[in-house]
Amino acid sequence: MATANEYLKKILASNNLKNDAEEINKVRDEKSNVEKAIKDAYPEAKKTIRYGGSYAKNTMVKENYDLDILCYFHEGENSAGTSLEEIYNNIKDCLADTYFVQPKKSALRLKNKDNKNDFHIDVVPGRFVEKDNGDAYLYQNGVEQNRLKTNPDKHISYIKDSGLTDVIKLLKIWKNKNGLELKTFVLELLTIEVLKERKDKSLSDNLKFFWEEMRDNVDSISIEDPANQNNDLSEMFNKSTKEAIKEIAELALDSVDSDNWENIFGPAEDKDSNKTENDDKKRKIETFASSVGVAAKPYVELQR
Amino acid sequence: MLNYKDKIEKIKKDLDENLKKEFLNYRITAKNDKIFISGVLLLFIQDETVGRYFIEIEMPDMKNTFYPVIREKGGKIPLIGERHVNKNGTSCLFYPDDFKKYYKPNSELSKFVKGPVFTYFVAQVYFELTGRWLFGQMRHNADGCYDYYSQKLKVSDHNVIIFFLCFLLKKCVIQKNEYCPCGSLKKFRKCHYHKLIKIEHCVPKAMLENSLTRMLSYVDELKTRQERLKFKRELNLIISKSLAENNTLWYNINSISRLISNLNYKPKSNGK
Repeated sequence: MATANEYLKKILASNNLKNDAEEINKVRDEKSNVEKAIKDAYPEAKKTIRYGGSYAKNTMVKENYDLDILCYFHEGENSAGTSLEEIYNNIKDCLADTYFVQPKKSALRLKNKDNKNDFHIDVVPGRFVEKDNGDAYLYQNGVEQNRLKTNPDKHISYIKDSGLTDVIKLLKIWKNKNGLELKTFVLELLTIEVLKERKDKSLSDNLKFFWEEMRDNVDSISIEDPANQNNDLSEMFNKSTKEAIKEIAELALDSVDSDNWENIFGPAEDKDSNKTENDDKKRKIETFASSVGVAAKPYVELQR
Repeated sequence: MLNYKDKIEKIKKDLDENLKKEFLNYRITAKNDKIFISGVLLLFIQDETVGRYFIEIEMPDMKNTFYPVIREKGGKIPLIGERHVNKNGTSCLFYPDDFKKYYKPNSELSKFVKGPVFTYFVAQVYFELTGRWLFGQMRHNADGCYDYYSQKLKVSDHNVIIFFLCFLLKKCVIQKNEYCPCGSLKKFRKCHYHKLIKIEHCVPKAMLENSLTRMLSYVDELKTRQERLKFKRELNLIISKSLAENNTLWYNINSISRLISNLNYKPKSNGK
């Protein structure tokens, strides 16, 4: 029987998205299309289009992958807009010719225009403050303080060089398996904050330690954006999120205590549902629906 | 009567036997005389997981709650009415007065989870994918109440629904040999009487009160506070007058109808 660490390595391997993986190739092709659309709209503009997010940080997992494409205009470059809001809206408009664009807080989610299938791509428009040190500003949709300072280089190196990317990947799988809606960025910062002195420990030891900290001390742990100390993360890491983390960490620890890691991550060879495309999922659900006689229709009492 | 320990044992046995694959890492706790179960619900369809949700189930106390209350705790579903979630995080699986169709006191929790809970969360996954509700949805608030009772009682006049709810809540009397308030010109005992008695047996009073409030809130949506108060005052007057004179409310249905129609109110169409 495999030890806990052997099992966890198998889980990592089955969730590894290789550079030539079909999923990656698909999104990579789309990156070229996104680049082309923006270049066609703003041919002369000085801009940098590159990968960000988990792909750049080396924390991407098959369970739940998104590709972030950063599209930052250089300092003083106004052809796509003078304000951040203008840049955000102009990029949205130029992508809307090709895609169904779903605006998120700072990013633009791209979906297939016809069937709304998700491409797993977020385009993040922004503007460099100083190109050399990588500082940039992003527009924040629907927020009073709608300008957010960031630095993708700092984020990438902070996570990539943390020595904890494997634990982060496993915790992302755990988060996803438990249906926990916690921003991946927050989970990454949380993992590094809790485990920064334990880089030399084994995967199983670190996971156990992380969950124990979540169970016992989640309320007192504070996290900080390495690129911007003024970035208020309290909304993303609020009381109800903390309670949910605490609760599912307790459940995970129960399984660890009984040495039942499969309870947490599933069978090692299990490729799970995420290999299925949304279409497949949709089809299965529709087949299921046709086999159900009469199902309850949801109702709600709206607060007035 | 089962004590807590026995109740928990019964739930545990049921979940272990019937939801071993679908409800993982569950934990049962007792807080303030209530039993809560939290765990991960896997939505298996054709041997594949189409979704997973971290949920909490609050077992009914049969005083304030009459069926298990479900909360999605992982934050995957936004707490908005459009997603059929109340602000307090409870999931609205069906119209509350209809609960006995899905859960009978002391029946197995696993049946409830495999039934409306499962279809509710599958519908949520489907909504995420398509923006459509897999099995349709009830309209919100008073409109949903109107749809439910108009289908159940096969009447379209909302005044009559209000009237029947008053009857169920013993706010008025309808003699069996009187004409049925629905206007069918049949005797009440040969028309809606038995349907209403069946509802009376199935739906707790508190739920019926809520439905009546919803129906009356139709008026609230359209009128000023003064007019609402006036309306309710006048309705109460008619009801108490009827009771004091030992008259049936049927006697006064014309007064009520006039009162409501004076407000120029017409129920919204449900598009059918």
